[in-house]
Amino acid sequence: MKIDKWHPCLDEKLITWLQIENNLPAKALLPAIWQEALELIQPHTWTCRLEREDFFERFSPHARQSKVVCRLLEEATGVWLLVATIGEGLESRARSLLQQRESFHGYILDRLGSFLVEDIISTLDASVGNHCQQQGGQTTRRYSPGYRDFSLAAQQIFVDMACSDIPYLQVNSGHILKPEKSVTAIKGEI
Amino acid sequence: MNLFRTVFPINALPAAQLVSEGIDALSHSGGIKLKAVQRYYEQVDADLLFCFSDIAIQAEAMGAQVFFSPDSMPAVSRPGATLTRVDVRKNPRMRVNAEVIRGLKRTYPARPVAAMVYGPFTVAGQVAGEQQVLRAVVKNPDEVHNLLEKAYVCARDYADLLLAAGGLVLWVSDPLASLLPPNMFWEFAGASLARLFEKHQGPTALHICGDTSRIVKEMVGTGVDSISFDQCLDLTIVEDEVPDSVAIIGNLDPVEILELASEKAVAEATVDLVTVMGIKKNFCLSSGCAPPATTPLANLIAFVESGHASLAEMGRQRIDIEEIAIQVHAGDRKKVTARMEEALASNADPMLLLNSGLMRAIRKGSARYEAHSCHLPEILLMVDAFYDGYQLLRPHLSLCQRDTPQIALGTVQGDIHEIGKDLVKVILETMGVKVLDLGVNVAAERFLAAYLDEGIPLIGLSAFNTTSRQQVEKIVELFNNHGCAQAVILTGGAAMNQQVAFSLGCHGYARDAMAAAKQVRGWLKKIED
Repeated sequence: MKIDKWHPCLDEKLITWLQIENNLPAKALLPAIWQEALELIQPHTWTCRLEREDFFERFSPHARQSKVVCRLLEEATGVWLLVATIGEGLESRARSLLQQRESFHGYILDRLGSFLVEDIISTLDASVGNHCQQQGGQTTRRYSPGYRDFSLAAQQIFVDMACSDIPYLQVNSGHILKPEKSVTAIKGEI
Repeated sequence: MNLFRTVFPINALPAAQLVSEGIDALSHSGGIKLKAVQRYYEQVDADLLFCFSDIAIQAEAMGAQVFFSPDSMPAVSRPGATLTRVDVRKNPRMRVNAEVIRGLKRTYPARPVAAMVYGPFTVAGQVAGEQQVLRAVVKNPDEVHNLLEKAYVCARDYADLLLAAGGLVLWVSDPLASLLPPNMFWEFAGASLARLFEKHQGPTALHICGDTSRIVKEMVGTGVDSISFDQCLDLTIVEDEVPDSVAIIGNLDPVEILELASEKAVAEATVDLVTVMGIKKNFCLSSGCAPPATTPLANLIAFVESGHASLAEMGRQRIDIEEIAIQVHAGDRKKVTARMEEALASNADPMLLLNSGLMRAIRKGSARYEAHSCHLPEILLMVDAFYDGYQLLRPHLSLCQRDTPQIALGTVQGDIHEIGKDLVKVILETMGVKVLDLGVNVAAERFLAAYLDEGIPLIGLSAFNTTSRQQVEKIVELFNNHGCAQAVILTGGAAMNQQVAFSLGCHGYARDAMAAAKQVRGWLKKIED
C-alpha cells in the first residue's frame, strides 16, 4: 500500500508543540532547522494485511497476552501492520549537535524528528483507513507495541516481516527500534 | 537617599539577648529597649537601624488583647477593636518605640533609622480575626473597608510619631496581604499602602511575607521606593518586574540560614546571594524576614560583614556584568561573545564573569522554569550562549577544576535513548557539576564501578522503556548487595515517575532535565554539608 500524499508543514500548531510560541529568537531559528530536518530524513513506510487468526499466530504470544489488543480486534476480520521510519540521518545529526554543545539546535531537530515520524505514521494510518473505506469496510484505531499490555517485544516481528523493504530497521535487546525515529502499529479491519 | 547596595537584617529582635530583662519588660520600657538595640548595633554594623518592633503593637492599640512573655515576642491573643480613634501619642508602647528611635538617632546620627509600622490589612486581620477578614473580603467587603480605614489611620498616625522621632525610612510590613487573591490585593491592601507612602516625603520600603511573585506590579504600584521579598522567592524571578529606581531587598533565609546555620554557612550563603543579585545596582542585601530573637549574634555579624565585603568587591568591577547575564539569558550568542571579549580585554575578574554573568543567567532560567514561566527550548538557547561565553573565559580561569566527577550518568542496559540523558548532562555542566557520561545501554556493573572504584557519589539512571524499569531495579539491588547504602541513585526518563522510582528503591526522581539538575544540586549540597 502506498502512502497518500505526505506534506508535513511548519505551522503554528507545531510551533506550540515545540513550546517556542512566545520565544522570538527561537522562532527565528526554526525555519532553517525545519528545512534541515526535511533534508535529513529518509522516510520509509511498510504495510501488510494479515487475516485475524494469522496475525494472532504470527504475533504469538504477545498479541494473545494483550487484553487491549484482543478487545481492539474483537470484531476485526483482518489486521493491518504499519511501519514508518525517517531513517538514521536526523537522529545522528541531532546527537552530534548535542555533543558539540549546540543544544537548542540538536534538541529541536530531535523533536522535529519525533513529529515527522508521527506525522508519517498518522498519514499511513489515514491511507489504510481510506483504502478500507473504499472497499466498504471500517477500521479500528491504531495501536502500538509498548502501550499498556502489548509487549514491546512484538516489535521484533514487525522488523522481521518488513526486512526486505526496510533492511536497515533493527531491534535491540531491549526491543527498541533502531533508527529510534521509527514506529510500528497495528490497525484492525472490520 | 535610597537603600541601594545597603546591608541590614530586618528589625532587631536578637537585641533581646543583650539585656537580662525579658522581652515583655523590654517591650514596655524605652530604657531597656534602647540599651538592647544600642548593644546590638554596636556589634551588627547594619546600614539601616530598627527599634525592635513587634507585630502586635497597632492591633493592641486598636483594642486587641496581647500576650506578653519574657521568652517570646508579643502576640495577639484575642481580637477586638475600639471604635474610637487611637491616640498614638498617649499609647505607652508606641511612645517606647518613638523614644528608642530618638535614642538610636542620637547614638548613630549618620545612619538611617526605620520607622517600622504594620500594614492596615494585617492589622485589620489581627483585630477582627484573620480568617474572618479573609472571608469578609468576599462576603462583606464594606465591613472590611470600614475596618481598614481605622487601621489605616492608626498606621498613619503611628508612622508620623516614629518619623517625627527621627525615623527616616518608612518601613511597612504587611504579612497578611500575601494571602489575598492577587486580583483583590489592590482593593484591600495596595490602596491603603499607597496612601501611607504618598504622605511620606522620605524613603519608603514594603515587606510582604510569602510568595508575592504574582503581585509585584501592584507592590510597585503603591509608589514605594524599596520592596523586600521573602526568602521563599528567587529574586531573579521578580527582578524584571521591579524598575531600576526601586530597590530589591532580600532575602537570606532568617531561620534556616541566619538562625540555624553555622557562621561559615551564613557567610557562604551571603556571598552566594550577592554573587547572583549583586550585579543589580538596585539590590539591597537583607534577610527574607525578621531574624528571630534567638538568632546568634555571631551569625548576624557574619552576614553583615561578608555582605559588605562581597558587595564592595563587586562594586570595584568596571564592566557591566549584568549586561552579560542579560544577553546569556536572552540566548543572544553574538552579543554574549562581544560582551565577554570586551570584559576580558578590560581585565575583568574571570570568576566574577563566570558566576555573576554566565552562571547567574542559567540559575535565573532554572528558577523561571520551575516557576513555569519558560520552557526547555528557551533554557537551551541560554545554555548555548553560556558555552559561547565559557569558551572565551576558559583559558582565563585558574580553576579549581574538580578531578572527580560528581555524578555518573547513563542510560540503562537495553535502552539506547540518548537525547534526554545528554540534555541532563549539558544542563548539569552549565551549573558547574562535573559529569561522567557512561553513555547508553550501560550495564549495572558499570554504574557500580563508577561508585566503588571512581568514588562518584551520585548515580543518574536514564530509563525510557517500561522494560528499563527492571534494569533500574537490578542496579539498586546490585548496589544494596555490595553494601553501598551511601550511594545516591537518581532516575528519570519516560519510563519513570516518582512513585515507580521510589518503589524501585531510587533516592530521587526528576521529570525532566531541569528538575534533574535541581535534584543533583540538592543532593550534592547534602553530601557536602
